Amino acid sequence: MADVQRYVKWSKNTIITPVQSGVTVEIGDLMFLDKEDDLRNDGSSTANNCAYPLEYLRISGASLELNKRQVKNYFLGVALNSKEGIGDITEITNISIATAGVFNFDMKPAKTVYIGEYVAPSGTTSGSDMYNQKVMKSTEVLDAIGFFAERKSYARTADVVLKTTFGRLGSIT
Amino acid sequence: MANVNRHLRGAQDVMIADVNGNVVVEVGDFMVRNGQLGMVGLNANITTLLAADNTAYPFSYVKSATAATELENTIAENFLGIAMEASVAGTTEKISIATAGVYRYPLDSLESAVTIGSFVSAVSATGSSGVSKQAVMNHATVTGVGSTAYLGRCVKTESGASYVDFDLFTTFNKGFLA
Repeated sequence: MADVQRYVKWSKNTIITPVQSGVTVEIGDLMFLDKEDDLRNDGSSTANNCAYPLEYLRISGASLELNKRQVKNYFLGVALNSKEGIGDITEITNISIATAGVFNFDMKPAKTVYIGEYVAPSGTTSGSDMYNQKVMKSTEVLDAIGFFAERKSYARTADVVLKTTFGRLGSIT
Repeated sequence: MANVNRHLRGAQDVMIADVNGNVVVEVGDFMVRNGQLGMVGLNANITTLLAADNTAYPFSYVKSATAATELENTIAENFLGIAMEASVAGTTEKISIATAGVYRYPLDSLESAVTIGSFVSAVSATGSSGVSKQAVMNHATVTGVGSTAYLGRCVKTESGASYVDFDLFTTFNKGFLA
């Protein structure tokens, strides 16, 4: 996925968050905060309080559902800057992350959506990895990171209100 | 109630919602999403309780045969916000609904004391009588008796108030109050 400006409307409440040098971030990536041990590398990592795209969130190699349910507790928002994953491994780069607002995201799979239905991260079951810039419709509150903000038939893209743990809108409870 | 722009200040965080052709909306109406079987209907031009269709309805369409408490919770969980546009009968269209901001509404119980931080709720959320679409009720404390269909929090202390200024809390923005 290339850099995509996904912001649509409402206040973004941007925060500046560090990203490790080896991590590639593209504009529009859904980001989480690595604030607890074992959120990455199949459940064997050390918390460094840096931001990562969702594809890095992997507590289990076996279950996509298990990985998706971790997102809402650590969900930061949407990357507004990009950075290349190269350079000195000790170098930290700060990027801007939108913690609130309405964004337009690709849907996988495409579905008919209505205002107020849950938005969840999407992923590939074969690798149990989540996509950085794709979301899906869900009926499960444990997966929910936002609501759909429009009614659309067979939507391949949709406007979503993102509810982040650290943003002014809070996460869905 | 006629069309009244009740916005005072603050970002409105507008969302675009669908309104069915047999539904009449006026500016300033509190709006709810029909997200649950049997929560709206029994209005003058809708004779049955409707299935969930995820479209927007004014509070006056919220009626149910269920217990009042359950209905109040349903309102709170599906509260969209305040209509910024009108929709006349016979027109299926999309309208703007404000999901945040500070608004001024008439109090159902006139000239009562309102206190900053107290909850403001929907009026008459009972099974049979429906809900007022452009009036609110004040609760002196956050644990006030009566309706639990909270719509926001009072932002100004006043004695003998006919109107109350409150910060809107909606399900799909800051989340509903409970």
